[in-house]
Amino acid sequence: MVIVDRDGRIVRVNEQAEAVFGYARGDILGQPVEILVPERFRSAHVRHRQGYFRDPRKRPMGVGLELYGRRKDGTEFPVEISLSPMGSDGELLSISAIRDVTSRRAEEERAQLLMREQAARAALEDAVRVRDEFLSVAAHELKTPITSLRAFAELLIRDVDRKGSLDPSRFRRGLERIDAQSRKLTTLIAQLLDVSRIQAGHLSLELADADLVSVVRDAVTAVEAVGGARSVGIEAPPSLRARVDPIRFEQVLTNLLDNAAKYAPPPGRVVVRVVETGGDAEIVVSDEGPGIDEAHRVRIFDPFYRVDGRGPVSGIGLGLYVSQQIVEQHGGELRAEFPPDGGTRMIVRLPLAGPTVRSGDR
Amino acid sequence: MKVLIVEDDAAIAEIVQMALEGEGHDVVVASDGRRALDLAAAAQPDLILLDMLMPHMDGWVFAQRYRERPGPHAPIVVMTAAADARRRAQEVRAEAVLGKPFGLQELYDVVAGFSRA
Repeated sequence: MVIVDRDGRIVRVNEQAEAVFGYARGDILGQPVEILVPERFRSAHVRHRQGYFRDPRKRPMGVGLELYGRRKDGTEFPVEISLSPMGSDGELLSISAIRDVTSRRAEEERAQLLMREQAARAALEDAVRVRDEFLSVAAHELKTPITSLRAFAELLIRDVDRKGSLDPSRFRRGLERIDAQSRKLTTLIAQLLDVSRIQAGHLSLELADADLVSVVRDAVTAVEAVGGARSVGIEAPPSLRARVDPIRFEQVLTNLLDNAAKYAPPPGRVVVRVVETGGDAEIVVSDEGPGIDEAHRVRIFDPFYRVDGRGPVSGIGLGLYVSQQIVEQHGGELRAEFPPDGGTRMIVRLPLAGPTVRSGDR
Repeated sequence: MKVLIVEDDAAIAEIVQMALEGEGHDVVVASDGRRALDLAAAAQPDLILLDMLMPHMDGWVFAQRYRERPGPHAPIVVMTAAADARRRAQEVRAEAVLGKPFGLQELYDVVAGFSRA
């Protein structure tokens, strides 16, 4: 405890204050109280002290601030101070109850450090869990086509070894399956690599001035070729030029068209509409399929999310996630709409001028 | 021997069917657990090759429902791409496991083990 007068002179100290500050009573009585304050705070302390005597009442000192005391040997230590006015022989004095909070402060710092460490560890464990989940799903999805690829090849070899020749229709069937499974594997591997690039922030676009309508037509032709007799309607202007990565843009379209064709079997129609609207291109892929249950709608763009119970549809659950990431890198957006009369509408909006480079971006 | 294949991947179901029919087995195929329950009741198979992850009704539910029905029960061989294939097999009290990707010889060996039994 330290008692000072209106001029800031120390008029009384107790033994505890002597011990805390390392002064003998005789050394500091009559000295300005700022002797106990680190030099850099002294002038501010004088102002605050004068302010206190203008409005003296019991209160803690420096609420919200970290306060420090200065020992005789010049070392500093954190303190908590509570101030009370006191009258003595008609003179106004101020009593400062000073507590050395070094050990409590150290404890708080240790607790904070511990909390930061725990948060960092939790984030790391989370990252490891996501990676493990990724690897486990990836391995599972890769093993399935490999199983049939390997078994079909073995069956054909076995046929040759046993019979010395091959039944042409069986041979053709085997090769068709091998071809289809290797294509499936190629797509899976490309998607997994894309996800790994996206998650590492390395998915880069090769932007060029391209005609969106001709990219749309190419994607439709490719999907129609795989889907056999399936035809896709196109409603588009003769051309619409935009700054995009044409290969990535075609990948997005192919994915949306594949989904529409898979989930909306004939005679349901699939239509792509391209329009220009306010400096953006809007590309809408609509199908007349069963749509998506409301419970699943919020998660269809999550990686590895698959809507079960929708029939014999294969896929790893990455197509929409990768597509959305690609569109967003173009500065656009990809969203889904579910019209009340059924079907699904996937809407891509892309700025015709390409992604805007914000200041600070490289 | 009559074999029921329960597998939602059409390519795997087809190759397993071709391979087993080539060995003289009688094969029926179901693409999910629900259909498999009906087929098992109708066809009374001697062996069931069971995939685990399938739409509508997965391998766990199928195995449980199948065993709840009055016997006799055919032995079950789990076909799985899971890393912990043996644990999966234990979970459904399967008699054997084929870890995907398996080769034809592994398939023949496992099935032959049950033909002799």
